[in-house]
Amino acid sequence: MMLKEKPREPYEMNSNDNLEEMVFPPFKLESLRKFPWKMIEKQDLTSESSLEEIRFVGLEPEIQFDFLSKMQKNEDLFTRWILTSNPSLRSFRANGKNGYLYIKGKDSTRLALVLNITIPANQKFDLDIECFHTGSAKTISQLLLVIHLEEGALLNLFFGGEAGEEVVYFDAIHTFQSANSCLDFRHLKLGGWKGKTFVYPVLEGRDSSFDFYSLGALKKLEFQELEALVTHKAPSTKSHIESRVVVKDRSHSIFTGNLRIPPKTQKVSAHQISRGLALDPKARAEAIPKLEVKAEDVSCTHGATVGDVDPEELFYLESRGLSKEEAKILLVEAFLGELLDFPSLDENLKNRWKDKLLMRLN
Amino acid sequence: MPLLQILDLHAEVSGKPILKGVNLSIEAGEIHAIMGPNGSGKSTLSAILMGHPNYKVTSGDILWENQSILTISTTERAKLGMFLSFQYPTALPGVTIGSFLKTILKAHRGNEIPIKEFKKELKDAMTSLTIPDSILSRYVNDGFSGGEKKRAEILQMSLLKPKLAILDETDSGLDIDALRIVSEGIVKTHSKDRSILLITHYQRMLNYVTPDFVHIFADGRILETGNKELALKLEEKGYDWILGKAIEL
Repeated sequence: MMLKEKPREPYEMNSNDNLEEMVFPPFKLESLRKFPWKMIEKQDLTSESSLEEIRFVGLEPEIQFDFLSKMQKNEDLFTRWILTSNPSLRSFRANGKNGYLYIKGKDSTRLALVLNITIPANQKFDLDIECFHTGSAKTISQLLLVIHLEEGALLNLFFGGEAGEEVVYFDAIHTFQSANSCLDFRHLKLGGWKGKTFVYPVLEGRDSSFDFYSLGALKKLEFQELEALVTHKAPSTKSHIESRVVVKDRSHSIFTGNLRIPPKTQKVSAHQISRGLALDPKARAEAIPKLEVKAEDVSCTHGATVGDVDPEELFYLESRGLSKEEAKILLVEAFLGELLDFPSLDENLKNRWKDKLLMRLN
Repeated sequence: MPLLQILDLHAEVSGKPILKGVNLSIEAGEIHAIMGPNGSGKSTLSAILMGHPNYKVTSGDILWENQSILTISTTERAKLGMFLSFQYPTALPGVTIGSFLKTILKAHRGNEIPIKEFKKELKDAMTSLTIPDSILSRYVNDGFSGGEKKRAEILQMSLLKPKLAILDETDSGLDIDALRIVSEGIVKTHSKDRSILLITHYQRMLNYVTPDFVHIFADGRILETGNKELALKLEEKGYDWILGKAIEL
């Protein structure tokens, strides 16, 4: 596939590949069974996409779209799909110690956005991203976020996304890390009627580490899937993936954790944990670990728990005078909030997203 | 009128009888100590008094100021003025001690505590228990040492000022200095209106918290009641002589 359009602005250009050439995901796949494919027409995917607002500080726009050729060859269909769906493109380079990026999709209009962010070598950077998109039935939201950490870069990243309750979203996040780089990533996506987030960290350089913490809070009939595929390409690399989700009513969450450690990639440490709190009998939280480990000298673990709040924790709080309902709210807040206690995260932002989480569950 | 009366209480867990006819009466301001060997049902008694859902009362009654509390919830029991200091306090990851203490005080008093007042009460209680300020930003009991957990329990008790504090093996896991500090914290909260039911294996805490009554608990019931001399006798002779009585019964 080739990009057919020239950049319209120094840091903005559109891709308009031929959708006909695109091989679509096999819809019978188990992981896609929840999606309302029949409701989505081809024109929904090629209709005009627009951004209502994009604001940023601490990020320098740049004309650097080399990453696209890499992405166009990516094995992930959703990533390639975004690139064929006429997206807006933005590329940035971190500048300074911290940055903020605000994205707002136009109401009830398709959002297709590709963001590329590079953290220069040996730079420590804190970045907070907020992304909002409201829409009516069948409004599609597609975000491709590509992050490069050059050698020795350290990035504390917060991503808070909120979609309108009728929006169908597909987010794909790719991270590429050079040697000695560290990425601590807190990810929170709320809302959307049905949504999938794909996370593809690739540890390309020795002694790089990737820590990913994902939070979710689902209600009504919402469906959300988080699929991670961690690839340890270099030896002495570390990854930690933790997913926490609270489901209520008849909502459904799936966490799929894929891990790939090729042969001869030694001294790798990779851990995955998924924790689900199901507050109602018909709410579901599933965890599917898929480990493909071909090296020998590695340390890998995965674990999953799904259940209601711990009855002993509940009893402890009730013995202190809290009602069952108050105790449950406090425990759910703590369960999710613990992952937002992130030193680099702006206090106002943290409180805003904590409130959003709680409002969804109360 | 007794503050608490336990009348021929029988209880079970998963169909297994644990309490087999407990009788006890506690007046306001009294300190009672329950001593007994492992597995005798002491901790079960404290959990049942607090209304733990895993235990089922099969017969008998628990009266609080002459009213049965068997059908009321744990929350309501706490609001009546009952407090349980847990043998193994539960960790609450994500809940900081500071916000937790504020939340439970509000739950007890029914309204928001003015911040100045809260800070003063908290500082006084923490100073007397030699608890550092840094604990306030830590999660409740998460990663605490045994001693820190027990101090945190007594800190809650000092702030809530319960009418009846049930202390389930609060002395376990404490070194000599910590035992003294925690015991002094317990004594400070005691008054003519506030009673204590202290459950322990050992006599050592009773050197600081002087009981009005000592009860020996074995095989799900109280076998003997005396004064603090009874605790000394146990320390000297062990439990064997009293366990013989349980078999006779």
